[in-house]
Amino acid sequence: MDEDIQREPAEILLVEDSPTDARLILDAFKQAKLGSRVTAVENGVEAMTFLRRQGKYAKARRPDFVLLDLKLPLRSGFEVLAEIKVDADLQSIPVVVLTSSPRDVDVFKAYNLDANSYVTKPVEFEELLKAVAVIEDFWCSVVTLPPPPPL
Amino acid sequence: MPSATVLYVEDEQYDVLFMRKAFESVGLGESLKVVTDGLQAIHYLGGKGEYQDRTKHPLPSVVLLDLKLPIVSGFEVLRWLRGQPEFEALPVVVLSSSTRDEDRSKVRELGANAYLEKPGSLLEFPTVVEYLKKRWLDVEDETART
Repeated sequence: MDEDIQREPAEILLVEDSPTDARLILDAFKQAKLGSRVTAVENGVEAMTFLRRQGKYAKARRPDFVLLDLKLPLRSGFEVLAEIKVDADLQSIPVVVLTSSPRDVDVFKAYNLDANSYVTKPVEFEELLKAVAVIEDFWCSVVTLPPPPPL
Repeated sequence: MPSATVLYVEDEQYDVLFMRKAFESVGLGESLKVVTDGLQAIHYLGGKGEYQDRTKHPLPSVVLLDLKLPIVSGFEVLRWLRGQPEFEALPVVVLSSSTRDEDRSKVRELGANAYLEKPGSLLEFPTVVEYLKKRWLDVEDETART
């Protein structure tokens, strides 16, 4: 990189249908105090509308990464993942799958659809909070995020 | 004498049977103590009546708690438990057949450590036991618990 980009707060899209888990995850971000801005949507259709900046999300910011549950109403997480990763404009956005299924078949499928990483949601509330803190720290502080695509 | 005990609070006899089998199959049959309603759970933990005998009824390292219980509900057991200073930090894993998100939220607010969906088939009980064993039971190290 030519310039040392001052770290701005990250924009994160959370796609999660369980209000309890969404609340927990949002709490975790608040606790971590990295200043990330999290938008939460509860299904796959909303997720794509947000990413495409359509309708009510016309002024949405491009997320720095997406936290994606696989178990979603209306459109499965796999469909959302596939759609993001075949879209020339969106495919560079890292997608972190955060879902309750630890099943090999789901993990395999997600990585084959180019998920950037797969995290199985811990069953314990405290552990979920910790996992989200680690995820945020990794993707916001350690990783070099992709620049936005040229217009 | 087992080094760790699980108190399983569950009224449905088949769940108890399958859980017992799953515990026995990993050599932890002695670790599982069962009570079949919420009031019994409170008496067990409080050492009331027959439960005074801690050699027969040792205090658990973790409570496995169904929500839907007769006499006193799982929610009430949890509320009572967290109100006792000696049980403030006692790990509680809630098992529930409810898919309602509000229940999960409430369970968390009441201080449970984890929320698992009740095993739906015989195959899933060993998974719960594995989880408990790995996370909450200190079965390898006998000296770690009194």
